[in-house]
Amino acid sequence: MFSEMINTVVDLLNNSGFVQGDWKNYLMIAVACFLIYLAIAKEYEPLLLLPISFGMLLANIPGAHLSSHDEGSLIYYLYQGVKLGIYPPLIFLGIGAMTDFGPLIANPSSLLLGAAAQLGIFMTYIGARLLGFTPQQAGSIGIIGGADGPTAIYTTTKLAPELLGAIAIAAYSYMALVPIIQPPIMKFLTTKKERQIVMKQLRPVSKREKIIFPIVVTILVSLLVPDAAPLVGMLMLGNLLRESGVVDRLSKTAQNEMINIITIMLGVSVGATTSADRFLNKETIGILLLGLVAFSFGTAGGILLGKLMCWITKGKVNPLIGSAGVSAVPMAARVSQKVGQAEDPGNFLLMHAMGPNVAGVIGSAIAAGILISVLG
Amino acid sequence: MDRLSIIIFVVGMVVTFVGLILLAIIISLLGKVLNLSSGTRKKTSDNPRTNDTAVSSEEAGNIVNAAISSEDESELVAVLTAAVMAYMKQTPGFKIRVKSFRRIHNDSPAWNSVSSMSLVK
Repeated sequence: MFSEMINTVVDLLNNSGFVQGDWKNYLMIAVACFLIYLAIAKEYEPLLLLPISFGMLLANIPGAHLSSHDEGSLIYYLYQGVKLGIYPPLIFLGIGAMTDFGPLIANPSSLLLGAAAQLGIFMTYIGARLLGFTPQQAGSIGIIGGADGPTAIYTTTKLAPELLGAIAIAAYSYMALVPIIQPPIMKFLTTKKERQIVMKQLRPVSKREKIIFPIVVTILVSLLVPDAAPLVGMLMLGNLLRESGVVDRLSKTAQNEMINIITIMLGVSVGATTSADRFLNKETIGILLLGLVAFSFGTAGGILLGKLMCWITKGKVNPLIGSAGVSAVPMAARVSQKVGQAEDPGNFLLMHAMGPNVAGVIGSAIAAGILISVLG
Repeated sequence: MDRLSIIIFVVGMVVTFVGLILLAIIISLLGKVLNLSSGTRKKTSDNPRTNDTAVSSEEAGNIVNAAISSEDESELVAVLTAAVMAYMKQTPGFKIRVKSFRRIHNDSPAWNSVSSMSLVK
């Protein structure tokens, strides 16, 4: 009986994670703990970084078989919502219900800034191809420059699902680092005089305009790029729920309970794709570097078009609002406000920057649709 | 660099721009059409717009409630007038007339604004 007891203990020890794991698992657990620290202590995009990093932790516990690729596990089933492209459009539904497109409707020319900031996506595509990634992988890496988590995840699941973990982590990390990445580029590309431009107050937008806007955007964008329809359609449905004023309950559910539940499931299952054998390779380092390139070019594209608009309008547009075109709502708009206010404390650019900021969401969804359509 | 990369770069940027330019044009036209129709309706209404409004402090609460959901400038003038009246109500017989209002350029430091806001609260 004593020997049986010893055997049971030995079996238990042999099945424990301590015996099964290797240095790669422990390195990934350390990375996960560092990301958890960043999410909690530094508040870097905590809503998504916390579940993602905890998913990473779970996926790398040896013997637990909790990665998104371990068939039959809880996270495997949660991951099906990512794999089948269900969660990102549902997140967009909630984002649409939370977004006020008023600043964009009041100043439609800010849509151009939202388009220019997509430069980062296509420049990074070229960079990724030069580094030897396949066209599909390059498209997925480029979309990091859209600075839009759900769009990046949606595009990657369609084009290169094997890179999902690295791309999601790069996208959300750089989104959190927007206040550090953007200001040097903004200052480098603009003059002090340009940064001090005070823009004219935006006109008030009627309720009717706000109701018609999501319908028009859905029809036009979906006809132009049908592959962008799941993202843009859900974004605009959410916005219509909000602006119509007749389905308050649905609007509140979309912007609270629903988006919160989906965020937990999306975050954990995306994080759990980063098992050590799939994540610790040179491709991940390339993706992290290219993600930074994508954000930088996106910022530069928006600023340069902002400068052009400033020149055409004879100084009525502050080029700083161009950088908000990279999406990363509302962080990028706040950065425009902060950099503008550093030059002139009485200058309030926030509402002007919100126009390109929400235009960037539509722009990156269109860019994603183009990439899926051509490369998918 | 392969041809596909260049094609994707050019087509991607062009289609993104075309899509958003079309959208900008439609939104501008929509705004003009809707504002034109609402402007015509305003002109034909029996309620002409006034720039100056005098109110007593008793009416202040009602006007504030009515104006919250309105975008009409005359109602905004009424709200501003009512706010001053409500503040000065301890002075009997006090009457004011708001003739115009405009946004002023705030050049005070940010910490100064924060301090003022906390005092108002």
